[in-house]
Amino acid sequence: MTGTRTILLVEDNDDIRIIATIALEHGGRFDVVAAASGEEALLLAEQHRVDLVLLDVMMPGMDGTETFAALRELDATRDTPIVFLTAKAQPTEVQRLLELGAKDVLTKPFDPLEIAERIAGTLDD
Amino acid sequence: MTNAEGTVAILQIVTTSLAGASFWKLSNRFHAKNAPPSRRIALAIGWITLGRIATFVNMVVNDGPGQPLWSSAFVLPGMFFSAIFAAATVRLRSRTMSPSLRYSAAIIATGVVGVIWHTATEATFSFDGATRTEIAITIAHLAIDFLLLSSVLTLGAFASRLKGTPTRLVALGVIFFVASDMAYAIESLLGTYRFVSWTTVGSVAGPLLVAIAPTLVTAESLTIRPTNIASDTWSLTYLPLGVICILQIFDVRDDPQQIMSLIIITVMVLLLIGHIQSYKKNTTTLNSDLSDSLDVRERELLRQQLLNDRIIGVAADGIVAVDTEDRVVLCNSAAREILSIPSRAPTPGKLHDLFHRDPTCPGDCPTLDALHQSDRSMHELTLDIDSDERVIELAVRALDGPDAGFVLVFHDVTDRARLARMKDRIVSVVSHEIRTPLTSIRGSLGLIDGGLMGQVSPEAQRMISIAVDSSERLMRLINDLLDVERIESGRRTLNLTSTPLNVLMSDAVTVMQPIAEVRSIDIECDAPPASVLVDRDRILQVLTNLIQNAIKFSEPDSSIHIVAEKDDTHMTVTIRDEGHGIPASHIDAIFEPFHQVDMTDAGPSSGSGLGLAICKEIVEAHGGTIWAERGVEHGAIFRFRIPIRDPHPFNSTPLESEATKAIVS
Repeated sequence: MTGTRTILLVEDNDDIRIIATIALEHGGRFDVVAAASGEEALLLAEQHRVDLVLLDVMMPGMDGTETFAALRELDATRDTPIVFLTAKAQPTEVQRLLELGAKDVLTKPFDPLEIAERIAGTLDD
Repeated sequence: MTNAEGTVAILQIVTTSLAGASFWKLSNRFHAKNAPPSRRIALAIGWITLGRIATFVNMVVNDGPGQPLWSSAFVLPGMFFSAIFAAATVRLRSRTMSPSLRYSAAIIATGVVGVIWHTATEATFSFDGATRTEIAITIAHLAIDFLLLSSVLTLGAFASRLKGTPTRLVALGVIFFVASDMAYAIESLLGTYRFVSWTTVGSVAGPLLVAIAPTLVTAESLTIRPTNIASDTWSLTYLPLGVICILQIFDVRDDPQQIMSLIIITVMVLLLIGHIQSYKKNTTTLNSDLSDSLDVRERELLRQQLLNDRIIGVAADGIVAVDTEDRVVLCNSAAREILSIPSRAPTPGKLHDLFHRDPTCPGDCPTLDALHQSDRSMHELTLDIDSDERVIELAVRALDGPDAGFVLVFHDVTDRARLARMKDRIVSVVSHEIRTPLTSIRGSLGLIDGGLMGQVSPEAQRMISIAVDSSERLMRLINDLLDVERIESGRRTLNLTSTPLNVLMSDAVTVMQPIAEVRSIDIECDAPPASVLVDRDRILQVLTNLIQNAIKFSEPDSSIHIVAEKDDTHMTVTIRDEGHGIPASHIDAIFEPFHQVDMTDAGPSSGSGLGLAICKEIVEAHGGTIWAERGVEHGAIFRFRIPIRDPHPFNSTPLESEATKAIVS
């Protein structure tokens, strides 16, 4: 493993964004680049070398699905693993997101410690 | 040409024209299915009118009737008339004659032929002064007249079937006509023909009677009484026989011996006829009884059918029946109303056109597929009717028997569907709004609990743990309540799709795999690729609930085994874990809402107690059953069985009433 990996966190809710950032950056495990919207995420994705995108589904403006498609269009994030963060826990919704091409789907509310584990697991696969 | 001759010729034209016009008018007045063929009779009379006019022209040109009339233009139209008239009445005979009527007609025909032979034909043959051609034409003329007489017999017999219809008047008119026509044929041959003689009466009065008859017809009188057999006996039956006897006796009046033998023969014939008559009466009575009882049953059937028609007509649900070719054979008024068919517009002939009135649609569309989708429950179908979205709840059922087609019963649920959609939106928003702050609470607590925010006192740590557990429990409760709500709203309608069993299982496993991996639990799955018709989302929910349950009660580093099978009638799914198993006392109650198995080590991951209740709801909505067993050595086994549905209405298995009840309730 070479250096700290960078996670692009896209989440419109400030509290959740802060909590997730703290959990992921704890112990220098990941570097987090946080975006409050899909539009911002697209800008940041071009400025940073991102190892994984953690993407909220329900957001004002560009929602998670649209942002997902836009990220796939960018050269920088064409092949970057994307993990969805969703408030809809129904199996069908999880299924839909996995079929879209997501690496993993995390449901809200989440255990902040587990989230780091899951993302590490996804990156190490 | 004398005045008398001119008057008679004009009278003949007027009366035949009147008769023709009268029948033509009748044909325009009534189009009853069983009515006499008035139009053909009118056409036949038209020919005879042509003949009359030809005769009149002939007389004007030759200044008198002229002799003989073989080449007269009157003969050919007359033949046409007879042929058409006779043909028209043959149809009447086949339509309504009972065996006893045919019997009466046969007796009369024999008698009439006998009389005619005696009076007309014998005289013709014994006459020397005519050429062979003349005799041949006369014979042909008479033969056609016999044909006409057979029509008279038919009309007479038919008269008893049409009470109040002046069929007998027509018959009488035709008899007059035939009499004058025969006299004309024979007198022409014998050279004794005079245009104005007693035969003139027949040629004028006959058509006049025929002309009067149709004016007496009413709509009611055209209704055929199918079982009025008692009046089938015709009083004229013996008349021609009597006439023959009198003529024969008159012929041999000089020889007492012959008179005696004739009387004996006559008595014997009458006795024979008497026997035949009594036999006939017996069979008539028998027939009458039979047809009376038939009539009662027929009437009962008819009454029942009318009642059924009325019930279908006033049913609040739309009912449409189609044959196997998708042709619409029934469409009640509720169906027309729901589908917004204008009251005067005809019902479309094909099933597709009835529900999908888009002229650009080729016909083989998803709407038609949904209309063919036969299942145990009702399903919703969204229609576009005149650019207006309409939602119907539809049940498709195959009719019994081969080539019987199927029936669609449906009602309008547009308002309900709109409400449901609105509710879904609200639920979705509320769900998101609750989850977001809850995520913050859970996240903050998790960070403190995990020591990321620095060290806290052991007491505070304990309190934080309690808060973490409670926030998780709250979240699960919200999830389950949302699920219950979804089941409630979706219970009436299952969205059935054909899905391979192995795909269904692997989808469920994929969703649960990350959670299992966290606890190092292995999920093994064995499922065939056979397809089943189920509500994919809901069955997926059952599977994930059961797998989640199994994960919850499994020890780390153990396995969960999932086996799906499909036989001819059912699909069965078994989920087995290697955990502690279910206490025997809980086996039955475990599917009740809010039932919790009190197990200390379930601890932090115990749920709301709704998960299994939801599974039960979904499985039962599919007409299936779900139950739990204790593993042989350890662990718990959850199993559910769902009957196989056939996607095509013509092959559908009989409905299971229990399943239907579960869905309707």
